Amino acid sequence: MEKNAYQKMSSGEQLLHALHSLTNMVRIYQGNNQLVRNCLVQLTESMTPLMTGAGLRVQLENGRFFINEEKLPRRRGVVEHVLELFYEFLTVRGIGALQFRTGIMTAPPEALVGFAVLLNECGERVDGPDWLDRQFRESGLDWVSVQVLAAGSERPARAAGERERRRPEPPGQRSPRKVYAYTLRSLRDVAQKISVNQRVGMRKAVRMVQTMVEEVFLQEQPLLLAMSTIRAYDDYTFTHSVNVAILSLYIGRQLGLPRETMECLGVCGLFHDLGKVTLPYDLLNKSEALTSEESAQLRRHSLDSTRLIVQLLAAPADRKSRVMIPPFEHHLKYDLSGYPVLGWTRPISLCGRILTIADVYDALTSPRVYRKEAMSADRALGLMVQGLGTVFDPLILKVFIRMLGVYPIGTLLELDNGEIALVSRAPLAEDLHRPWVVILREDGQGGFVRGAEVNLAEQDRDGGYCRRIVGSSHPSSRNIQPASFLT
Amino acid sequence: MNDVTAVDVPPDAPPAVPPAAGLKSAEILAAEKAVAAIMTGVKNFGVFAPEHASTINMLQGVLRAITQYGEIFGSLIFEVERQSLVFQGKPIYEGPPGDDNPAFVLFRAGISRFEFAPGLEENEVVRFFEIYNHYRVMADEPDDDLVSALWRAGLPHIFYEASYELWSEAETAVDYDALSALAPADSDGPEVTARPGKGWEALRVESSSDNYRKVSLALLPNLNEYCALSQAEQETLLAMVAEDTPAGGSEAAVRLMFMLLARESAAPVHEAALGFLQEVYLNFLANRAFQRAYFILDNIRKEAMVAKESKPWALPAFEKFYGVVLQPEIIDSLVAAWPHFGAMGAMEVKALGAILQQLPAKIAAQLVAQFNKVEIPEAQKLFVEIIVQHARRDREVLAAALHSEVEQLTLAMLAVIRELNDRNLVEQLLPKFRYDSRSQVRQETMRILASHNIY
Repeated sequence: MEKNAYQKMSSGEQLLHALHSLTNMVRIYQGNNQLVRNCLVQLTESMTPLMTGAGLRVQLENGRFFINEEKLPRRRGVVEHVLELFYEFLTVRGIGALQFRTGIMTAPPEALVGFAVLLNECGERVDGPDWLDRQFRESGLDWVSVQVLAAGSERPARAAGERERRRPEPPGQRSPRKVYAYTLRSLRDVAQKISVNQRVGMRKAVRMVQTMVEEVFLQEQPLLLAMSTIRAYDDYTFTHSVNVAILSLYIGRQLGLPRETMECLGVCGLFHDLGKVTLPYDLLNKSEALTSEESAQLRRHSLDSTRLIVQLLAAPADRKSRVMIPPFEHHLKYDLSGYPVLGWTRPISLCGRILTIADVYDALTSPRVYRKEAMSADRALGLMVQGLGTVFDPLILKVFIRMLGVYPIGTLLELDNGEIALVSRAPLAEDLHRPWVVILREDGQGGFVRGAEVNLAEQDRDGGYCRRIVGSSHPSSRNIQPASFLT
Repeated sequence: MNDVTAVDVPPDAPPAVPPAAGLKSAEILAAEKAVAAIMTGVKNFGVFAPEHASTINMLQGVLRAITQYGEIFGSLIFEVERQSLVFQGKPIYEGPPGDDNPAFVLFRAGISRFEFAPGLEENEVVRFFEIYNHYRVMADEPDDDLVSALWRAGLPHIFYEASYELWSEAETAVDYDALSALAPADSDGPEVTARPGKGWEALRVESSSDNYRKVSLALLPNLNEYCALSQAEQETLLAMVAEDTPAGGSEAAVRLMFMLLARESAAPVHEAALGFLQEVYLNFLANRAFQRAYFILDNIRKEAMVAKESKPWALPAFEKFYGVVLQPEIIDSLVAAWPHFGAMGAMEVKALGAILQQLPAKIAAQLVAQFNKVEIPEAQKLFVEIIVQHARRDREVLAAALHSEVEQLTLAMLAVIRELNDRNLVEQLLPKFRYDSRSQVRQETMRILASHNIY
């Protein structure tokens, strides 16, 4: 959890945030997953200042949370949004209050996970709260009990006879954050089923890819491209796959690919690292050098992606054909000198060549456990240029650089007037060195707020540039998530 | 002069009243008619063959009703609810939730609004009904759905609004501000070099070194000129896109499957790879891509031989493959290819013949039964060659073909018997043919019997 944002929350907000995160995480990951364990730590830490001798009570009333009888103040912004979601989560389940006793502070992790799992499952029960209470007793979770939601505590229902008229956002105007979140969810669902060897349909992933294709084509600003700057250290594999899908689609648009190929490209991007789902977490996040066996195990992932697509995806053969090849190819390199070494002599497919570029770019610009500092985007591109014709298709890489500019969207820049800025839009093709940027101003609490958007190509009366770039760095060096400022 | 006043209206008559409540506007009536035609279409499409009069009349009726609406009122738009279609705020179609209710089917797919725009063409109506029928019943783990199929079809006069929020927002929201882009604090320490080995992951990052700074793309001289696309490069890109076809993907996938079969040593992988190849093989047969089909069949035969030697655990997967591809219906479809013999290229014909020769002997018996469906002389000749090949190896095929009503086949089998020069065989099979009604058969039989001194 990002330190500054979390610290800005009150204790009550931290508690609710932790509960919300935990109920989400257990839906996706097994209990022994590190992300779940992190949530458990946050939960117990958030409870510490609030726990009294009588325990800790979380109550819902008239759209507001009460913690130990004290109303939680409403605050605008992301925190409020998360709390609204958690409120809805509880009211849908008919839960009016959660009463925690001091025993929770010493409860084993498995018990806390079980609590969150039961909380999710009671949504499917008609007698949710009663069922939940029984389950808590039977499972030995005597440190928590629930109360039924009181009448009038729900959000106002629609008037009788009033028809639901919620119109979906039109294509080209969809929230890029929501599109990103739903795409991430679709991938997690597939990966979760594959990890337990369960057959899985691509329906929702395909729908999200089609949604992304529409946004790539129709959005006036490349907002989804801005989302591809998301870097989640603790959740690298999935965010990386979504980023690769987005980057690939934007390259595809530059090339003028038809819709059906764009869909295939997006699905390939999303599933290109599916083979990593079955790798141990410790291997993927090992900081020391890998042994040769570990290296061989890791390099199997592209062939494993193919194997999983063939084995477990419920798609007809023609669609499987198009989806399995690029993930197999994405480490083969343009000159076929990469891996897996199987004597493959067919030229890399077009989607495979696009995927390679998107994959390497996102990997180079991501902080990883074995790399102290992520590369800034301009350096990543500079390094990639050295692989023209060997690792990368030279023409497609050129298209990629033209699309992003020297300083791609999300790059953190230092300007000659002392300002720092985030690249927000690609430059014109005539001068790739001067993009549009969003000036960042310090908020006095260790973070930043978004300032004006300026065009670095703007010139003063004397023909000189109003602002010049003196340095570039990766936004993680200042703990910045560019998407927060750009969307 | 006659009074031409039509009506003498008394001065105290009440003003004219509007139509009584319950009378519908022309627009609503037209919309109801169109929706009723569409509902009839979704229920009956596929019941009869495409060329059947009922299908043709139904499609024309749907198109006519929608077009008539469109000519006067523009796009036909209705909202989709769980059990009903709503037109201008009122239900225009209602039914219980389920696969038989088109409103429910559309609603389940996430569609909230549906539109038929003016200019709708019959092929679009057909495609819409095909997609609807295919996805009317949702599978347990579907690969895609009605909305994604409509998206792919890109019908120019059919529009819909569908939500992409396939889960609740509460369950899917990402707290972007909470995502940490940083490594954990305890990773501060000595510089960690990246993993050894080839590839871009093996990158040593030393943030304080000059080498790191020098890598920036900003330092590349003449970057703007370098990145400009020449005319030739633009044409190359266009060609690249044009050459990227789904068929290429199938061939690569087939080769990849054989790589998996050769390398992987787990039964589920073999099952999956062979299942995939089976589907591709049958698709190739259906499309009369016999060379590609033969490639698969021949390589599977080789893999099956390897499995027999050294991978007995894989044999059930191969048996399952052959169990499917050797079904009578599949052979029938091969035979159905013969009328198109004249249009097939020489290589395709050769490949078809090779496929039939690879099939087990019991299939040849099926070929014998189908022989009279083959009318083109060149095809008959090839068919006979294939049956002869099998007959040489299998007595049952020989006997079945010998007893064929088709004289050409019987004579060919007699030639095989003569070639095999087996007295026992002659004694078993030939005596009755002394009395065959076909003179050439009788004569050839007598000659063979005589050559073995059987009278």
